[in-house]
Amino acid sequence: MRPLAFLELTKKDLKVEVRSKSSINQMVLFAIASAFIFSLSVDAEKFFGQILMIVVLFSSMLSCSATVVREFELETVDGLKHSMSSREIIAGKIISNSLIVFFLVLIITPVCYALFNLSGDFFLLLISLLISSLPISTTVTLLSPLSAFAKGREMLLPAMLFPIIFPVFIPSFKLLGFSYAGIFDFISAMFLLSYTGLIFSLSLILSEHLF
Amino acid sequence: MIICEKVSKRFGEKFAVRDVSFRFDKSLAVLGYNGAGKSTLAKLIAGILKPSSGRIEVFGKDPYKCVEVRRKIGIVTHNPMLYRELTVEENLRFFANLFRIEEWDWILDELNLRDKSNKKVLELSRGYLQRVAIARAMISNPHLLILDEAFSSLDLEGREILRKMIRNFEGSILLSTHDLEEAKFCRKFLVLHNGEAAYFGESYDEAVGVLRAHKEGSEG
Repeated sequence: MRPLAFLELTKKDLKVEVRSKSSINQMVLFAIASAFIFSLSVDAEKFFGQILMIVVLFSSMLSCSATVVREFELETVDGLKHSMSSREIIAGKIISNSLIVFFLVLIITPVCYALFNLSGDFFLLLISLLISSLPISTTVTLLSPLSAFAKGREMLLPAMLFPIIFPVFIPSFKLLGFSYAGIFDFISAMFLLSYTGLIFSLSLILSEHLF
Repeated sequence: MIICEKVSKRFGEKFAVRDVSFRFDKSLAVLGYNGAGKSTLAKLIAGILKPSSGRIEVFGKDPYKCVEVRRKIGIVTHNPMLYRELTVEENLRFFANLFRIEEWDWILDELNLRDKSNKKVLELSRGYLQRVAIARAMISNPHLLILDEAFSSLDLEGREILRKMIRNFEGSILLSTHDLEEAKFCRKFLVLHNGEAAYFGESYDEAVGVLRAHKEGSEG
């Protein structure tokens, strides 16, 4: 695997996203709207971790799958397959999608912090949410090619995603909860990073069947 | 050497290509009417599609399994495989970077694209889009060039440029077309009809005869 090749793909994906703004706009609007509704309807200060994870999860599903599906729909993936290995393609896609979700987290964390009237450690919360978003963007990218040609892909993706992403929820809630109190839960963070590594490795192994 | 042995490709119950066998070294023209299976065959040889059965070998390896072989193939299909939001230059630079090619902008002059280089791909006409697609395919100096209806949307100037590029091309060429005039320069001819090989040989006249006979057969 050539590191420069998959970084080129990442660079290209980010450039396309910045130009089209199709996923980013949709993702940010969805995230802010749902955070706003949650802030009015539940005790947001108590459940902020769960709310943030729901917002990040659904926003990631919208954007990460769109960047992959677009390559299949426009058949640009055929051009990629002529110049890169499947492993390089999936690695590039995971990195670009993770960066797009990072961007979302950077936007919604201060918004939620203000909406939910939070008063804990902001930077620790931001870092914890960035770590928690990693397994989500990686898993959504892994599953997106599988649902690209499915008739009901909007239904199929969440159906495939939830059983795989389920182990991530509890450590994420713990990590976010502790970070609010100013404590960095190292064990949960390590679990989330290891889980991301596991899904990333699985993506590389399965890449031949995905692209 | 490009070898196809009893290659079939099925989409669901329907065969797009069925038991097609041929081999060529320098140039092959794949002739056939719409729906004959030309594009599917082009994609199979390019390693984009996986054959349902049979064996494909390009420069001694299976192109579907081997990325190194795919990197030696340039393909132009009805779909330009370009990113609409990026400019012509950004698209070509992206592919050149993937191939680690530093000197690539000669292709802009070759295809008379220099003045369009800062235009976004989505702003281009169909003919210019095809030129950029040809540039993308040629940028890596491929050993095998697959042109699937590459002439179809080009204007007179574009056609002349492509003809010149083909004349100067030193590798192997697979030209898939229903325009008989464009196929004349090829050394071998394959006629496809309903996904099956109706003729494979070196005679242009025979290939055209078989093609016309099949057209009359399907009309009559």
